Amino acid sequence: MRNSWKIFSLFCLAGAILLVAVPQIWIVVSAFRQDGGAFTIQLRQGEMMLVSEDVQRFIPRTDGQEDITLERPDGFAASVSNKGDNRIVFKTSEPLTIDPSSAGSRLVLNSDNASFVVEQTVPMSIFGTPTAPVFEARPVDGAVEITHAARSFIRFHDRALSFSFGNFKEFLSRSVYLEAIKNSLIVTIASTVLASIVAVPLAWLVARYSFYGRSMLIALITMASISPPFLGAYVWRMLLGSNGLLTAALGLDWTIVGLHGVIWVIIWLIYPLIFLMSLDSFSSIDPTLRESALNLGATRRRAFFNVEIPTSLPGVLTGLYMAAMAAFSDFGTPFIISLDLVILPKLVYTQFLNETGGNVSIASTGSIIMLIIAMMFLAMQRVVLAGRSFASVTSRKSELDRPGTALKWLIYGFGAIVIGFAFTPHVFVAITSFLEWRAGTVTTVMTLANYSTLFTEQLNAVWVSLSTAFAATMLCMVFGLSIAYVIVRKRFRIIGPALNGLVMTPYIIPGTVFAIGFILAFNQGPIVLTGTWFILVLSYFVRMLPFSLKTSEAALYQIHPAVEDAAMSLGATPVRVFLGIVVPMMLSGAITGLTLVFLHSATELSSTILLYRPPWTPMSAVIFQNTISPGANFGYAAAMSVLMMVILYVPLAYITCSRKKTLV
Amino acid sequence: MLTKEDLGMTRKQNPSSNGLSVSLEALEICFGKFQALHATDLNIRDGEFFTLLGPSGCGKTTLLRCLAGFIKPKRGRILFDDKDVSQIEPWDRGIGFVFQNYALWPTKTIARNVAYGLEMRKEDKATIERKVRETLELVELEHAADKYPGELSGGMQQRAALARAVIIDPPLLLFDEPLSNLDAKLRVKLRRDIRALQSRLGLTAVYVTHDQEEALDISDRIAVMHQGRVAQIGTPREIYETPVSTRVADFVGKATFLRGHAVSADAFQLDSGAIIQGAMTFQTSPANGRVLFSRPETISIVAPGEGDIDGVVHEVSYLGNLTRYVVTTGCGQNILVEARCVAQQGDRVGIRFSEMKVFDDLPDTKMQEEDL
Repeated sequence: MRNSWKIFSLFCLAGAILLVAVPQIWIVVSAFRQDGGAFTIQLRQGEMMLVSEDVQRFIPRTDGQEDITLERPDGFAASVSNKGDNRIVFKTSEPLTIDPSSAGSRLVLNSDNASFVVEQTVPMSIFGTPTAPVFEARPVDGAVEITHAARSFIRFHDRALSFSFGNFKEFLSRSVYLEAIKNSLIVTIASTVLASIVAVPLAWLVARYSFYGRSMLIALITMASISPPFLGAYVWRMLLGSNGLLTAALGLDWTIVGLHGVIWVIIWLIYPLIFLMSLDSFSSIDPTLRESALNLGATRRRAFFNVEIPTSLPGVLTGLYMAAMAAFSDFGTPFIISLDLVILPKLVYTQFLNETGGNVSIASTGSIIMLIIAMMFLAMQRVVLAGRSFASVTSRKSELDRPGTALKWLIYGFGAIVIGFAFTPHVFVAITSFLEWRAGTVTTVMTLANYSTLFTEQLNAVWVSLSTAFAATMLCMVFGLSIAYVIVRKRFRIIGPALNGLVMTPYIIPGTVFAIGFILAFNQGPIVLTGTWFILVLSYFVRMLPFSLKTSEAALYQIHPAVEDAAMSLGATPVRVFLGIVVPMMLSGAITGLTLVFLHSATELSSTILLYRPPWTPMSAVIFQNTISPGANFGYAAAMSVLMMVILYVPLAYITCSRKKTLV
Repeated sequence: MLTKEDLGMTRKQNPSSNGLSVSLEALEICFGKFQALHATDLNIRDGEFFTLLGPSGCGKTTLLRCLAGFIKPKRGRILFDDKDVSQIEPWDRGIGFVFQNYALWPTKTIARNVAYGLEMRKEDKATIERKVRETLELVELEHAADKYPGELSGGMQQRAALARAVIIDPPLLLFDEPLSNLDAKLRVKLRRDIRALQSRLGLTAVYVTHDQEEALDISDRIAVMHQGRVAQIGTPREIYETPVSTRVADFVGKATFLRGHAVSADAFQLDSGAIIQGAMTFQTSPANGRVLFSRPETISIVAPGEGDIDGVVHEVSYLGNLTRYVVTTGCGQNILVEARCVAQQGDRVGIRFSEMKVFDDLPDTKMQEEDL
């Protein structure tokens, strides 16, 4: 009985290693591996030349001869000589053999340290399609003689991977990648700073003053904190893009497309996080702290700066950190707002998925850069917070002041602007979902066709979203509760901290990075999951488990161990105690976390977009694909967004109400 | 679930009792390197109300939890009626436990809380319902059956917890400071109720507390514990009146300790030079006598020069039934006196001792000063 928890924790630890550590290791391995480079030669009318635009890692040695000779920095050399009669001889500094897997137009040549894939294409004629002629190859003294079509391109690609820092060198030296890092940092910092300028003062006013509609304002901002993330971007582009509805109506020569637009949209996405954390923090300041400062002769202003700001700082900073992470890893907004803006999550995504010119190693390198930046944000938050945990047990709630008339209208105005901007997308999408779309443009014709399409043709997406989110939530419940129990109560010396660390790690991994790790780890080898329903469930489960674990732990800390001893002394075995006594008590606290798990899983985009494959297409992917494909009918995507909002806000309303009840 | 018969507990020692006897044989408990209980032998009789008394951290709760099976001993044995239970899991011991913080389950009603032990024993529904009703009547909570613990006062919650523990008809009932979260008046009433219930059911009780007044009031016998060892076992009277060490004397009740040395079998010279004469009991050999001990109610205040020693009234606290004085002697030693007489702060008075004991050492001097 004592050991069954240990066995369970070992099982969880193994699972965490498989689902958290292994994918990250794959990313690292992939980032430190580099292929041997490639070059292409062109043959035309018996003449041979190097295509200088497509030379990777090799350096051409032009010494005036007929032959093309190339050398790599590591000393490896290759040369191609034209024998005429549609034949060339390929030779390297190591003897070559023809791999038996060579077939048709794909030739594989191996040497000790290289593995060349040689492919031949014939340029497209006006009416034809490109063809890939069949090779004939035969070995000649360690070299290989190859036949080719009269007019052709032959590409030599050394696929042998070697350990190298090359990817990092390339990432940190090419301007496009540096641009992406710079843009990501600008977006993250600017939107977090601007959002906090909006959110923190408003949170302070709401925490201190009572006014009509106060709880309504808090409820609305809570709703805004979990709106579908990509919706805002699309609607703002439609309203304020070049030729957008508003810009056209006002005759403005201005567009939201660009870095400023990304920042603008992300502000309205992340300020609720800062607001809610700050509000929580400001409200939980023990009023006696402030009163004792005033009592000791501090002015109101000094009490504010010396007492209130420092004690509420940890909560505010946590809000800022969460907001910065959300801004940094947001994938949908930059993708929709501006197609040509390079920014890290988008860059990693395109490098990973693009069939032509994509590069998994560079995507992995970008992932690691993203991880490092994310860890730096966390480290910054930790350094600032070090030794500043103020657990003040509030004996009584702060009395709320009544604001003066001017202040009251300031709060109303402030609140109205903030709510207005946050909900513009929701309102707009709700309206457009009842309008007819023609050729990618919205008309003013009212229709219910969008909804009938949704419920006849697109129900599959709804089902996929709900089923994956529900399954992930159930997994989070089972493992969140039991792992919290192991960590808090069992305190195994090594297994406990290891399990805690591994389970919490996904909290700092951006979604795009997480998905790439999952694909690298599970698209080959013993466990193949890519493209299945399970990989979506597993990724939501692992990414959301930290939320479930933390709320379960908090719930468990409220439960005195004596209640377990009491059940045990009455004859209940530990398993019955856990299931019959502890779990029901924990659930009332953990339910909030589980609701958030469900809501976030149902709207998740940044990892979903990489992981899903039809037919397992969730709603978020359908809406996203419809918003980025030009000319697509956004009507039913809008209808689907409305449905998604219903799915989101009904459970949220439920937990908000039930939380209010427990407070009374 | 093991029944008492399964454990081989035959109880013929005390036919009127439903309890069992508990014996500890060289029992040791460790947490890592920390030894919470040093090798201890202890016998608790069938049907006895036995109290473990001591300051926090003395190991009394640890010992109690070990009796319940929540902690496994490092060495030694625990016998329930001659049957070794040291390695039996808590859920198989079939004994009752009442916790300091009640430990009721907030998700269940009072009736469901109380019924839990019977449900674990797979009793049929009708029996459970009947027994729950009876047990709730026993603790006068029949009206609260369908309420949740959060809706009850602290005292009612503890009575519910008591009902939950006794419903399984345990031969041994363990109490871990059950009254320390209640206010003073309720504490006195409830401890009487607990004692009455224990006598009525005829079971053995082991009761942990740091409140010496509570221990003296309800116990058949008390074990005073200190730093993981039993310092003294005895009836409340023995513990209070004939403590074996200054430590026990200091922890149980109020006391005055005066430094000096014994000069003969009936004379003790204080450090100041003053000699106190009279009948005194030696808890050590006269040669090692270094401390004179006396209870405040055995000391009387007389006219200056008529007592054993003179002093000045330093502090007066009126307690209603009597008055407590702190009298400072010429050499600065404080003497605690509780008496019904009238003296003012600053008065010069005489002190007369009537019961004195001589020990060889002082307890922690700090403790002594806190008491005064």
